[in-house]
Amino acid sequence: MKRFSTALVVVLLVLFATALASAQELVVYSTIFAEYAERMAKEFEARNPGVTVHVINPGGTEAMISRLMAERDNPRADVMHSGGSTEYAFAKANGLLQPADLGDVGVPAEIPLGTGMLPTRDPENYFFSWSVLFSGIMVNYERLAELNLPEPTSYADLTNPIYKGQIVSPNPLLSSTAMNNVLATLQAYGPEKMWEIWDGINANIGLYSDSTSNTYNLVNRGEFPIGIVNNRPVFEHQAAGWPVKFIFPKDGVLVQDNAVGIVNGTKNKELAEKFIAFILSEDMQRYGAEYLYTPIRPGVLSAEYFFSLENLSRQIEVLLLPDAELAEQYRPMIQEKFEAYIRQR
Amino acid sequence: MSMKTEVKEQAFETPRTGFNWLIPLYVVGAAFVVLFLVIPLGKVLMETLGLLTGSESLPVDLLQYMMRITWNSVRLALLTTFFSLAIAIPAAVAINKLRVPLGKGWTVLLTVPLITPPFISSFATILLLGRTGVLTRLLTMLGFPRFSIYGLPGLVITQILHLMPYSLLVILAGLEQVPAHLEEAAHSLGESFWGTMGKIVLPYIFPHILMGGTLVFLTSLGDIGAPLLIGGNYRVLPVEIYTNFVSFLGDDRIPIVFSAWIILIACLMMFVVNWLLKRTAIKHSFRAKAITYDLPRVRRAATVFLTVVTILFLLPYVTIVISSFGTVWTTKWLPNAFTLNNYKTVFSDSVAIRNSLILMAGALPFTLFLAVMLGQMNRDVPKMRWFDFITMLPFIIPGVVIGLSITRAWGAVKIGGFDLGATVGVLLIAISIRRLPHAVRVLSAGFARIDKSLEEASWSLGASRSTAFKDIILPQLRPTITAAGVILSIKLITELGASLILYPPGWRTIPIYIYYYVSEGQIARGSAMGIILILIVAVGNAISNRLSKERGGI
Repeated sequence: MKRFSTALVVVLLVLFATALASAQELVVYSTIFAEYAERMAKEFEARNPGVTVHVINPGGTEAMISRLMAERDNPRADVMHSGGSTEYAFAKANGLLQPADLGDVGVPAEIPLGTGMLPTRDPENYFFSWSVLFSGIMVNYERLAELNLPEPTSYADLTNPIYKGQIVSPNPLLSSTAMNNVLATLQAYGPEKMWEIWDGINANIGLYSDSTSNTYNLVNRGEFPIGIVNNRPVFEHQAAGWPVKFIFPKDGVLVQDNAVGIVNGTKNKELAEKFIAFILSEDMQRYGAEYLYTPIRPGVLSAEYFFSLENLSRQIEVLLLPDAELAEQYRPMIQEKFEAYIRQR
Repeated sequence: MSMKTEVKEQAFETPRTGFNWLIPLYVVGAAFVVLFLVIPLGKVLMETLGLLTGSESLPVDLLQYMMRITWNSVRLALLTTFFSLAIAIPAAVAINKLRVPLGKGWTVLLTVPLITPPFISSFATILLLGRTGVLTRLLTMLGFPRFSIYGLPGLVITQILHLMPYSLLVILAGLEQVPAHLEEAAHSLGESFWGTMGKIVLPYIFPHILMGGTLVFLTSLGDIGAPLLIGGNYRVLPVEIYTNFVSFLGDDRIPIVFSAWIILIACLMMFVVNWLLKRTAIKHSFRAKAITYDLPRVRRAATVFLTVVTILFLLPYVTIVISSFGTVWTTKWLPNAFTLNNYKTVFSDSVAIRNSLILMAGALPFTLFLAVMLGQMNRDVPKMRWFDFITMLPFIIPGVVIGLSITRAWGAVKIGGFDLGATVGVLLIAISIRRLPHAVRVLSAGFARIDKSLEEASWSLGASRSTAFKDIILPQLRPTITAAGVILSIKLITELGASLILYPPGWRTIPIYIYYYVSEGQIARGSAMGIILILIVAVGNAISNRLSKERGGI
């Protein structure tokens, strides 16, 4: 018995010691999914011998920012990765990021999209977009057929009482995915008409999920045949065989992005810059496309490819570019409205 | 009875020998709690208190809203506790007293829900009872009315399925301490089995029932997994705190107001529990030996009852097993296809399993030791009784908040060049602090059962406090320590909230992996990892049972 315990302690100590041994390290906070995170780390390690990349997911973009804030005096991370520009602007304003000097990485500062230009980076180089995504509607067509319901084609369609209780949305007070869908209606309908739409959608929403990712799971399962979401995860679940698809709302689709930036106070600034340049490189942009991330770098995917930026934007009738000023102006009103919606339940 | 104990307490107040060697150990226990719970939470509280006095006033309907979700939380916790006890008490009596076939095997089966990480078990409820759930389809086919799990009924069901085993374990530990002579006396006086149970046994183990209920109540009050996944519009306090604390879109002041409020409620609740414990203190110093009853008809009924309960409690886990071998599973009775790939993927990344094992092995003895010391301090030093309330805070404060508060307080502090926050030490501390109250609560039932007169007798015979503790108290506490160890090991290995916020590079644990998989929509893979976790804990408990048997029980 005693010998057994001693042996156990020794084994644990050895395990412990091996776990502590390490080389030059780069710590990346990212909410990207595990498989992709691993690929990203391995590819960067292969190009930079002697470097170990640790990707840490604190459980969502909000939690990631909270963790960065808590660690502000002694930063543990070198790079903040994934999450949209809106969140990065917040992180920048709170002193969590520092500018990166990447030199020329081959991604223009703006790329043409629809009738306008989409910026690909912060003007002061605090953060850089690395993929593009769109807000819209996810449906489980198998379940819709079972319920004899037609597929909705726009936000306005979602106000139809036939969908009562069949819609799930993340909580817009907590989820940027949901907030971006709200902003899409703001830009499409204006600050007054949008509430006619949302009064109707709110009446049909069966569940405001506090977990964004769970929204996708619930639609996959058919628990709620309709979800208010972003496109990329839907593509992924569709590719995995779930009976789901993404619908670009006819009344307006808001463009969003995934960004990356350097954590303020990192001791590995050069390595972090190298990492960001690698994220924007042709190679990594192509690997990202394997996981259905639409690359921001022009020319990585041929324009005919089903989720290339060119092809996706062709399917969109009303393409809305992000308008940060408008969003900031109406954010308090949106917050108040949704607090009322949710509290009245 | 109570009068008698009061007289005794006055008779022998202190042991004869001088220094109490337990005091340094109390200091260690208390210091740990102060350093890693009181200071961090206090810091967060102070930092954000300024926000409350700021110029912007709180929303006018906040108070009203707070009352409503408080009632939501309390109602959920009360319903869960009531039904859990209604199942746990008869189940415990059946297992312990009626010589049912399988014996303690039932306990093992019914402990499975405890081991399962909350995200997985909540999702199991959706797979089973959701709108497209297997059981829902069956019930609809049989003509039952539709019912929604997204709200109170679903939460109560999920929580009962998840939490009942706590009360079962604690009540079983209590039943093992019922002195045989009491039951024999009742029996020889012509009392029936039911009479003996109702008049002697259940009143005797009342502290354990109360503690089992408290454990369920508090865990329900602090539960965040189930409300996050299926609570939906039925909002509860921890979700309000968590979502507003973590999200920068939320109102920074709400979590502070709500945290203070939930702490107040929990303190009030503990006050009532302590008062009840005192009122019902019947203490016996006789060595216990559980006696059983040979009543074939009651036994048959009890076996049927246990079978039904066990099936109901294990059904969600059957769906987890099926899902772990499946691919896509939507509107059909079973997944579209079966595969071993989920397990292959999980095993290809065994670091999480290693990490979880190391963390549990490191935190379990330490936390159990702290819990015993703090429990003994609570008994030994009346002036420190209030400390018990503080230890209990992590029950109801979401793990993410605890994790962030520890980082804020200690993340930038380096002791002699040693950067605590960069090592796994911070994770060990956080999960210990977070799960300490579980052990403390379970142990408090055991402490409540110990009569002071034996200890006092040993003092009058010249034993020091520490000797009395070692030779008198610890042996009597053994069954409860075992129960606490089981619950604690499970709670440690399934900790998620604080781990997510604190884990240093390379220290992903099993629950973190499961969380990732489930967030990515990889329910099947998450289920596979969940099954592995259940197997690890089951094997671990089997080994520890084996070892404790070899050492010989009391």
